[in-house]
Amino acid sequence: MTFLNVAEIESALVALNNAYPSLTQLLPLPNETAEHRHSNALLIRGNPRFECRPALVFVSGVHAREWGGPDILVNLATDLLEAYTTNAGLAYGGKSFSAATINLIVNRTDLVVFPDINPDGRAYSMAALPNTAQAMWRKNRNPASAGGLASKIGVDVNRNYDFLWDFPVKFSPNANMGTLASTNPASDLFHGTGPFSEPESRNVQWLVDQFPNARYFVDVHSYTGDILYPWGDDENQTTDPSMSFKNAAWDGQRGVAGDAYKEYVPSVRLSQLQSAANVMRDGINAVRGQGYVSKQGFWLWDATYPTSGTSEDWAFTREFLDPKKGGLNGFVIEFNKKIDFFPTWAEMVDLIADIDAGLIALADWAHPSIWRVILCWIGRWRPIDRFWAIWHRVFPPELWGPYGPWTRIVRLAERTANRFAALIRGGRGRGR
Amino acid sequence: MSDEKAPPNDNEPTERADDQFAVLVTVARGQADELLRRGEFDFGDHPNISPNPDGTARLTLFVSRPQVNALRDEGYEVELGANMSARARERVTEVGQGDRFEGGRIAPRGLGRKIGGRGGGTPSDDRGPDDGGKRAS
Repeated sequence: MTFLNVAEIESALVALNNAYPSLTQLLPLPNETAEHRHSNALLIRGNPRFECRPALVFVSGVHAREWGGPDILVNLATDLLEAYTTNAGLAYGGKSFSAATINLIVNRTDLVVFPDINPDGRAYSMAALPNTAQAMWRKNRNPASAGGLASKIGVDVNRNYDFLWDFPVKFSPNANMGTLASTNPASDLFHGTGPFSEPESRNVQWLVDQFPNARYFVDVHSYTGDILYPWGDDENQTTDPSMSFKNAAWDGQRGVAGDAYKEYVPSVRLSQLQSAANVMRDGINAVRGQGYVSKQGFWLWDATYPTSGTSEDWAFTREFLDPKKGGLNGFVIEFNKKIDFFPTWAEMVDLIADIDAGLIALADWAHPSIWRVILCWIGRWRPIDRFWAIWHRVFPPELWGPYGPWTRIVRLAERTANRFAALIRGGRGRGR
Repeated sequence: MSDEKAPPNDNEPTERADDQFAVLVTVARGQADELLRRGEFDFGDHPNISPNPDGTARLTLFVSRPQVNALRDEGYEVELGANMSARARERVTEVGQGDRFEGGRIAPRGLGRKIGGRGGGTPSDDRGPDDGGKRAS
């Protein structure tokens, strides 16, 4: 087997939907790319009647040259569906999941895979010819800001999300501008003409919006062997909610370690982020001991790596912008410990095993336990609704309602009694 | 490069003037930040830095030969690794051709090992391309 090309990724999703129609739903993304391509996502939902499930949204392929991401997610969906439908467990190297675990994951979560965010870029990279260097392409292929110059084509979709997108305003001039993003279309970090200016990032936004129950968002990249969690703009702090991306008073002060500004994350949420990242890390490392590390995205040895407009930070903003939507934990997995965007397929098979084990471990951790299911049902158990449900079961409206047979009998009896009473009253009147 | 310490590979395909090489630049504290700030180097995705026992570290960059020479002229120790551009061109031969799933008629097969169960694992035994004999171990 070999790496999936762009057409095959979409065909694979359609095929999985065809093969498992009762377990999957194909989700066509609404925004067409610059080169007129359309993408699909696939929802795996084993038990539509189970209302207490969280959604996990896994995406990949945003950076064109990071070839293996889509292969990882297509395989993940395939393995889960094959195992579930045959009541089998699943094993990757030293990490295994029982059949019962696979059942719980499929029945108690919405698992969404969007393997190829940037099909134009992938097609360009994979079409590399001997006389070109285009395989190292990172961005999408949007020519809108290029002014006709090939060197200026494309936007880094992972700098285009609506999280501190306007970095010259939002960040300190002392922040590392070489990593934040760029306003120069020739840069590999060009952030586009506005937040969500690109169809690829809008497709991710649309997909996440379809799942108000989304609780985990993982963007699969390569390489370095890291699992990264928010925030990416500055150091984390857990004490001052006013020191936040939402607060314009801090504009111009973000992105520098050791200064006054640090990004707020509630301590309980930070703990949850770290726990989930560690679950993925441990799941990956259990396969063949690759030594993946989980850490906050901002840090880099003695340096910093501040970023704006990235997917995992944008995902994590949701609960701060609209608390009613609930927490959405955002992550990046950088697969491959080796310095290589282009592993051989034989190496890629092992990398697929690593990352799929980590993602299934996360899904196993995320699906609600029986106690959480009970709590969820209690939360949804509105007493007055329950009362009427029981009432209508004991006294069915078709029997007891105004047009039901019992009501007609009662009404007939009432009318008969009334006539009889009137007759008696009339007889008495005449007697007087 | 397939190994972090891999020397240049004589078997790499023909080199182009704009090819990018994976290089390891030895940096002291503060120098990694300075190099990243320039905005002129491709540092991959999340940058890769491997600390050394002596307090320095090795920062991975993807740079052309002229950039390698410029870094060396500045006094940086640069270990030249694989020609990533050439490697990518070589890997193109490992990209699927056509549409092995025939527009959705043939479903893919998972690489994970199925444990127990009812067997089969797929709706159809002959529907997917094989994996060259290699399953996820």
